[in-house]
Amino acid sequence: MKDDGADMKMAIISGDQIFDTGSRMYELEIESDDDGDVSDADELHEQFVVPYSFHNEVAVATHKIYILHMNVSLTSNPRVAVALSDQSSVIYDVNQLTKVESLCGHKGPVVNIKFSPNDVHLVYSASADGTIKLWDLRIGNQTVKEFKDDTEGSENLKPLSDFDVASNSHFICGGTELIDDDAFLLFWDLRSTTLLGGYWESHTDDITQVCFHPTKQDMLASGSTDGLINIFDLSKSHEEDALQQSLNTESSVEKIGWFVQENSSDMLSCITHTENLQLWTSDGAYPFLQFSRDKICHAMQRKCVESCFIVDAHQTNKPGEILLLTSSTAGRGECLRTLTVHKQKLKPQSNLAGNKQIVRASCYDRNSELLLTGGEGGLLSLWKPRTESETDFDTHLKKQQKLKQHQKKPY
Amino acid sequence: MSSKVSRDTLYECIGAVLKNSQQKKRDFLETVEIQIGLKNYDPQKDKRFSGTVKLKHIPRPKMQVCILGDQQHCDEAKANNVPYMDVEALKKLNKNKKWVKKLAKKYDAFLASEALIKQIPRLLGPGLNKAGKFPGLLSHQEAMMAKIDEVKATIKFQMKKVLCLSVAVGHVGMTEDELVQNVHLSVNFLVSLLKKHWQNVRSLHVKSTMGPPQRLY
Repeated sequence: MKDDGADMKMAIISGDQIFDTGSRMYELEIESDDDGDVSDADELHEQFVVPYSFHNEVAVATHKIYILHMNVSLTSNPRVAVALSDQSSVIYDVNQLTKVESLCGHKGPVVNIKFSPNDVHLVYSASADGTIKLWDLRIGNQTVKEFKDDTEGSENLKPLSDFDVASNSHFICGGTELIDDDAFLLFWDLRSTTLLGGYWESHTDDITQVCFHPTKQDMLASGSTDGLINIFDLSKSHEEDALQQSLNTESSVEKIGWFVQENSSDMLSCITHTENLQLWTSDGAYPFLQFSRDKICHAMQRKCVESCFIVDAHQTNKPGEILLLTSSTAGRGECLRTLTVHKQKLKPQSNLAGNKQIVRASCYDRNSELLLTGGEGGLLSLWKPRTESETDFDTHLKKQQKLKQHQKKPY
Repeated sequence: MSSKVSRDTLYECIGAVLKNSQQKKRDFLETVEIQIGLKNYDPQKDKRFSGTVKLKHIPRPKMQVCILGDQQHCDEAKANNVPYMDVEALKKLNKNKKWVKKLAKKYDAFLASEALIKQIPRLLGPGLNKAGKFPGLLSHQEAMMAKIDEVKATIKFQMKKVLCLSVAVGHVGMTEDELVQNVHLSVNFLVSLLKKHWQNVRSLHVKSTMGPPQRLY
């Protein structure tokens, strides 16, 4: 308990620690090119103990189009849905990395894409154009349903910023940007596409993430740049009664996620826009665990705190463990590493050698430990854990390949 | 890369801001703000940025903070002449929207004890959220007055859909050194949030509310 308090205070003043250091005080410079590894390759190899290898890669989009969001459907025939920065989305087969379908039709940026929780052929995509479209992959590039809030006319749809589908597939919830001082959470009935209602009292800025509890159907968490994570009980009819908890991150919420395990209380992870990780219980007054950007940079074994960022947090099969995918904006973003948070400790796990882009989205399957990444190069990459026998040979090969690459591109 | 703002430039610009405000005194305390123009940044696909940072010197001294406290915190607030409310007082608001709104309007920010903060939504509904004033946590490990100063010293950066933003970092009643430190801290924080750091900064100005802008970068 005492420790917690100390930790929290540390993190609060961490802003000072980064900037307020004697000699650097008046030099306003942060050079992204300064970033590099703290230790040499051999030491890194010792630190990042779990070998992971680059398995396959495909260019999903052409130059200057980013991969911004993705979602994977893990069936016997796994597929990944990828939202691009050019308002379109694509569906790929995970094993072969071949294209299954292109989904075009949104008139604004796609803000998220998700498979239906119980039908592998159905995909939802939400857009800043104000619509959530439902696609049926059996009939190709066509929307079967469209959800929108046209209460103020079909010309004035509310620009969405994220959405989620309840695991029982009865509701869909969309969060909006701030519209004239209101940020909305909108609810639709999945079967009829009718707008059931909305909440607009609980956030005062763009909603960045909407997240249904994986098992409790009536529980919803929402995060916003106003710094709050709100937890709602949707079985209550009014917003005043539905709002159960407001968790004040005292920052700006970029991503949240539920971590639900048997025999332990539910946990919420929060990645802030300042690249800190906070872990909350759903009724906490403060995060029970928190890692600042410099702690994360330290665990990544990198030099430049200002270049490090968190891509996402994933749940693993180990009870209580969180897998953090982290990267650096230095160079072309080649540095991609995983860290684990287990028993309050942050530890290096894998160094994903061979990454070619700044990674913006990822999916992780905790059973097969398969990792998919996508980012600003438009590349969809597949990573797999390596078995012992492959290890040595592969690193050798990689080193050689890297050398060759360097020769070709002297800069 | 010629991307630094030297100590001399900082002092020169802030000196000019202060001089201008002294030559033409206004009827109110002018705020000092920095304005940042960005480049090579696409708000549609690049990561948006926003975040809070604690400055060294309080930019808004007049800010009123109200304590929503347990017994111990209420006593402490009383002793220090800080406005406070206890659970009973909050219960009396009865989730009444008008009253909660009135409370939210009365103060600039709130701090709540651990036992109370969890009950706020149930006691007050979303009223404080709506006002953008959901309380921060006041724990028993921290000194109340220091925490209040921390709240007053914290500023928020946020980029909307346009490629520029401005944020208040001080006022003309502050000394040159204090302003330099605040500007310095804010700029460094902002740049740390940008993907390509200084390569994303087009321009950087500092100005007082009524005075002309001074170019830093």
